[in-house]
Amino acid sequence: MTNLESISEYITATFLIDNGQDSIEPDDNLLLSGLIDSLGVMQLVAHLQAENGIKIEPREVTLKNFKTINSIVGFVETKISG
Amino acid sequence: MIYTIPQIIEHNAITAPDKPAFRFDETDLSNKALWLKMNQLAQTLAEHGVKRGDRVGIYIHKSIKTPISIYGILQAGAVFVPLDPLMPQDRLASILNDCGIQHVISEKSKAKMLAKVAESTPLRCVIGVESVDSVEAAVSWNTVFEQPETVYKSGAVSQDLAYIMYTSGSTGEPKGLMHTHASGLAYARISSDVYGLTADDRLSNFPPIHFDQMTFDYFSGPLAGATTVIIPEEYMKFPASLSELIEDEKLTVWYSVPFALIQMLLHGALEERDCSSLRWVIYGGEPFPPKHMHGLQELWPQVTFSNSYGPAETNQVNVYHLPKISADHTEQIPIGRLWHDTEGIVVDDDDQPVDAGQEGELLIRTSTMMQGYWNRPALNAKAFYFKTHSGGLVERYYRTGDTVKELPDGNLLFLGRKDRQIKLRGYRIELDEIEAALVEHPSIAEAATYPVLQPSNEKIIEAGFILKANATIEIIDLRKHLIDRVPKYAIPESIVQFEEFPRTGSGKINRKELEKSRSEAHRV
Repeated sequence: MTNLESISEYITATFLIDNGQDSIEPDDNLLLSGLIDSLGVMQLVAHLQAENGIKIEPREVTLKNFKTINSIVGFVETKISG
Repeated sequence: MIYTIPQIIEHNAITAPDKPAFRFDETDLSNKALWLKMNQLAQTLAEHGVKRGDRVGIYIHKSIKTPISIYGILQAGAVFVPLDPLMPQDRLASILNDCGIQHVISEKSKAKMLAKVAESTPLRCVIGVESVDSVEAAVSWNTVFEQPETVYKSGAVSQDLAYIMYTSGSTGEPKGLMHTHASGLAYARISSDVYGLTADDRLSNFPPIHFDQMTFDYFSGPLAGATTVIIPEEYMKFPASLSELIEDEKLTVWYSVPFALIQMLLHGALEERDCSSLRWVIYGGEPFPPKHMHGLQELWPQVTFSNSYGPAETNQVNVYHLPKISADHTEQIPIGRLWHDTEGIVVDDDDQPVDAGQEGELLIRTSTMMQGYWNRPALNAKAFYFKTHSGGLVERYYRTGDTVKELPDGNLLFLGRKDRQIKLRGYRIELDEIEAALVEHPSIAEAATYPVLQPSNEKIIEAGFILKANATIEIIDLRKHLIDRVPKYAIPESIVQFEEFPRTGSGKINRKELEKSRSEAHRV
């Protein structure tokens, strides 16, 4: 599974059910739709760290890195290669 | 002389035309531009049938259109009604009906939802969208901004309604607080004086506009000629983005619920940010844990911290300027003293004033107080306390429902809500409303909701339920059931099945006992 697939799958399974929305596109704003709240962000960070063996610093948990599935994938890939 | 809220911008457009009144996502909106656009919006609203006193909804995510919407509706002589962009369909429809809202300012992402509620509500015109199914008229912003540059005259006076803000009622029905230009302006004048706002200030607008703290950001800031930086809603979930924004935007005054500040302290990489521009931090809505206040004061030694208190019904009316809080401080921080033009009395259950230092309910009389709840005569009869003097003079006090006591130094200490309404992250949550929604589910026999204290000292809501005989249910289905019935922020973080609840002598669910035992259970 690619990073895009696994992250999309995790977000769909974890958050979509609470929202009543049908699907999420890679460029959908995850935050504005109310899909993910602040506890959800923490949960997502913990998952990404465990799944990819990376350490995400508090200063990196920003809107820029977490706005869409695509931006999360981009951020995670930079962390893995960095 | 300024006697209605939009005159603030009219005045600024003459004295400081090019100064940014608002800023969003690195884009400025100058006083001159705001004055022009709010008049164009007022003209458009009038052409679509909005008359003085009509209610117009604002149903958008925060953006540079937010101040244009607020001030444009006011300039039209109409009453703005902020609508939570994330509220469930039933709640939206219920507010549109309750308030008789025919016109809404909205955006493309909300068109589907508006089409759904159009059939069952008076909604007939949407501004900000090119078309909405089932709605008679839709007007794009482009069309609004093609209006000629004229000043719209509505004839509004200071005693006209300016805004209606909806909050949860104890029966679960939302209730609308009616504020006039006079009460909004009185608050803007007092608060900008208390915090010494000047044209050099750069204010944060953290809360959404359906939250009463917005009056500071949208009225008090402009009255002082300051710039208000509107913070996009998504930032709330990213403490590191919030702290970055304080640094980049060189904010001088911050106002929010404690939650946002605590999140920044714990997860916002504050030690890496230069927040030396900040001079005043104001918080309100719920108590601030002293250990976190100590942490913030250590990081931001140049900042004055103030606790602001006041129900949305009265606007904020109380202030406490904090001394340095030590690391081992555990006593609750007081809410302070009533400020200018405000009188308070602390009364017992028979409305008799208590002796100094005794507990009682705080009653408030002030120029910043609401007129009452929209369309709720029974509620209004209970919400106020009337004191009649000789000569027939009647003084009206708002019953806050908050239990307080006066400390020996004259400051007030907040002891809790009289009823079962709690505040979490600044939101009012009616525990009984959640219970009522749970019990609506066909499989549920009984339900109880109560706050539980986490080991982190953070409060969350837990719901307990007892199933009907032979019924089964998945927790996830219960959550889905709640999502359609209560605001998102009121959905319990924890839902637990019980065989039986602890009971009081009369057989009622003992919620206090649940709160205690479940808080202990969460600790292990």
